[in-house]
Amino acid sequence: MLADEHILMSTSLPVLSHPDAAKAFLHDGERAAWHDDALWYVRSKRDRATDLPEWEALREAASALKAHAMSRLAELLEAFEQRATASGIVVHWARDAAEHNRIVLDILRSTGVKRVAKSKSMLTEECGLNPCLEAAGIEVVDTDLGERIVQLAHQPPSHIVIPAIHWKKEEIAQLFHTAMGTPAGESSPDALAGVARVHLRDALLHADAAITGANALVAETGGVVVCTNEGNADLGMHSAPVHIACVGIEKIIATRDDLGVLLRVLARSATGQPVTAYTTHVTAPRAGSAMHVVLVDNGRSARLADAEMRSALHCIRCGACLNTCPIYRRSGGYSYNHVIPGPIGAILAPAVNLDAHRTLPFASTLCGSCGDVCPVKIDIPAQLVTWRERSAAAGMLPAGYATLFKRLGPLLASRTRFNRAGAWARRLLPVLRALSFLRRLNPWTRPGRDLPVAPAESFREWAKRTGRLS
Amino acid sequence: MRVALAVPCYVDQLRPQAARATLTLLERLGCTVSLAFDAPCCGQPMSNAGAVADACAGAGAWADSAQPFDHVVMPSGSCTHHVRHQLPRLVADARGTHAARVTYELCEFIAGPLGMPVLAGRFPQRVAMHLGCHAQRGLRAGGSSELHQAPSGAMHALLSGLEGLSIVPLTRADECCGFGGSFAVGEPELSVAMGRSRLADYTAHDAEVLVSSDPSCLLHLEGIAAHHGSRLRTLHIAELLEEATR
Amino acid sequence: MSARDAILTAIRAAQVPASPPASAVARPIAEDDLLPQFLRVLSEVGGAGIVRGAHQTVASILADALPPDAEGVVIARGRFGVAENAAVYVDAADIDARADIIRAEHLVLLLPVTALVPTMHEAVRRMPDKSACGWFLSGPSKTADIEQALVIGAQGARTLHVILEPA
Repeated sequence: MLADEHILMSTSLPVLSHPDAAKAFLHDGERAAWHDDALWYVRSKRDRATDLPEWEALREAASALKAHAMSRLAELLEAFEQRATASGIVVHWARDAAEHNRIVLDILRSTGVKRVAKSKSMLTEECGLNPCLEAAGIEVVDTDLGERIVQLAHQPPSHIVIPAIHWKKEEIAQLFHTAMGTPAGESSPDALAGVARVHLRDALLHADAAITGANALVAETGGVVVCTNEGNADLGMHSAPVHIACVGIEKIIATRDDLGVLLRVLARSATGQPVTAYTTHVTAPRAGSAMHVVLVDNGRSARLADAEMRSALHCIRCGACLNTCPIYRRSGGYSYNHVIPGPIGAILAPAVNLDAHRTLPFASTLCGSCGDVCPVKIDIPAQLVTWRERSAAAGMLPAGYATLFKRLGPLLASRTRFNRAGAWARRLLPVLRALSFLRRLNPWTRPGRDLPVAPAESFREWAKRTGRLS
Repeated sequence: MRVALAVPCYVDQLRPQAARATLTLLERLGCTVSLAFDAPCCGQPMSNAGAVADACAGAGAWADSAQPFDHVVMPSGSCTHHVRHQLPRLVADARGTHAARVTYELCEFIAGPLGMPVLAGRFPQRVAMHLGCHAQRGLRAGGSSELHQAPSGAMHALLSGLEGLSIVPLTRADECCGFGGSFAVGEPELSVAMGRSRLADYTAHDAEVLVSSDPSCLLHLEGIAAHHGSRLRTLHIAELLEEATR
Repeated sequence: MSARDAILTAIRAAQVPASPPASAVARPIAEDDLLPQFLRVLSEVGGAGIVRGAHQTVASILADALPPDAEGVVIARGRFGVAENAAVYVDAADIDARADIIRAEHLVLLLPVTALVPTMHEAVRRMPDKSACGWFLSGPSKTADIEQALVIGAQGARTLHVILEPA
């Protein structure tokens, strides 16, 4: 299976640092270029869809509404809970992933659920819900097409919006042939999606329970908002006797006006569409059915308390930062070793485990593209730098960095030491350039990049020699 | 106008011609240029990598060197960005504030304090323009594609004013070249893959010359170009402007 | 302490400083451009829109637009449409069962041509208060999950027609 090479999160393989994972990903240069082009295409679609005269004003408003919601988070959650409860929705609270899973399992067990149809929810991925339900003997079908592909392949999603972006259609054809008996070699997207439609509609219409995420909770209306293009969330939630919406507490917004702003920026940023095909706003269960909302903390209140980092909670999970990131495009989602990859993942993961994720804040050139496409204006580059500083302070810089900078610091601060070191470096360069076996050892030259030609004189030496500097 | 030329550490050692060209150009524009800027490094390499403690000595010395001057010009977008945005945190007093206030990247300086004099010059070549991300999105020195802005800014204007020069359109106008400081050796495969992608973009659009306001981007891209036997000529903006206006 | 109390306590302990709500966003869109924009965007998102002519009925339009043996045709009234994204707002109060909307193979939405608003800013204010459930539906269901190739007709409706009732 071609896609096996990309299963870097499998428990049977060692967890690679980001640089090692990136190196492995780039080993297949053609495939890496294909992956890069696919994501750049999504970025281009975003550019066209967001080319509105008022786009920057929208970003400003989206950023403001999120900051406002975070500043009133407790009050808004209580208001939502009050309205939702009054309308017949059962509201639960979960401190962490384990509690979330337990609550969902209890709801399912109490209603004798055997088959669950799930629409895309990164929150349930974060909590590891599927393995928990499966261990309890409950069948879970992920009904987003991309999610279903990776589910059949026993992989996690590699992108938060386009879960199977790393799969080629021929590989999907092979997967469907093995898993569902479709004709081998039938790789047209229309045919594959057509097969999936029948299979997923069946799962959705006959599920005992539907589990969804939510793109927003609206405090003013007590509403749960779910956006999809495929319609899978709606098929499940309006058919199944039980609907459970699993939502991070940071998803709450204050008013319907805020919802208007959000719905203008979300799909434009995520897929380059003016809006998703289906946007559902539900405040009450339909007669004869049960609806639950599980509000999940799992580190969010801690992030809220971190003044330099709290704006990461504004994230609306659009994926625009992934699509624009030259690192993500060329190293793939699995190289981040975290449920949420890409630039936003690189600032979320270290909060979970700084040691394990120490290479993530450095998997960036700080180019700033992510911050510029973020519809809610999260200053991702600033948070990457903050994580680097915290790593340095905690003695957790990636291998070699700490020593390097300890040496460089004083050297670069003293004119005489610098002049001397520079002169030596220039004498050494031609030697390094000539010794070809060193190419493979030196990270500068290893991937195909020559060392610079050493100038005979530094600028200062020239200036002194020509009398420009005494 | 009296200005100090602050030569970035790696420019001094590895690309002195960019500093010489900057000096010549500034004098040609009527400036009195002092080379008495002693500090070798603004502290950017350490600071960007989070090693704040290791950056402080260098940043402090740099701020001291900037003290006597009302204008300090650096032929580097990334260094200028660091001095303007990061150095005041490292040197949290009047010296740091002063240094940030008086420091300019070369094109910024020509367009700003020098009042954008007409540079009568000729450079009949197809030129690919690479600002460098710290200039592009850090200093907002040119239009950014993410913000739906066409290429613009001081460097773009200076190039556009030269006779015969055509700035080639690119498929990805302002994608990062992959240098990124410690990233260049910390994530070497990615760094080179990104650089190769930029070079392919320039070649696909028949660029004869690559020009950048960031010498670190140039060192990186040149190294990749040389390795692949590319004929692309690579110039720092100071070198191009100096050559065009001789 | 219950999970609810623990979470709310932790949130309050974070002491997030006050932050003002978002300001309204000004946007340029001309009144007489509403219908043309709605129809153009509807077509771009894979739907089809038509203003009913005097000689036409909904049935006659559908006889032309849908295949003769079309199954799973659901016709529903929309409250209003949104020009910027061709979304039609349907409220569950106006249909028999919520599942009807989503199980439809061919979704047909009826809308007065005078009930178009420019953007989602106006649209959210027109959503009924106390709506138990409502949808913004923009074009048929779709997916681009397979190599970014757009496939119209994913798990939901395979076609979506909007028939606009003239003033």
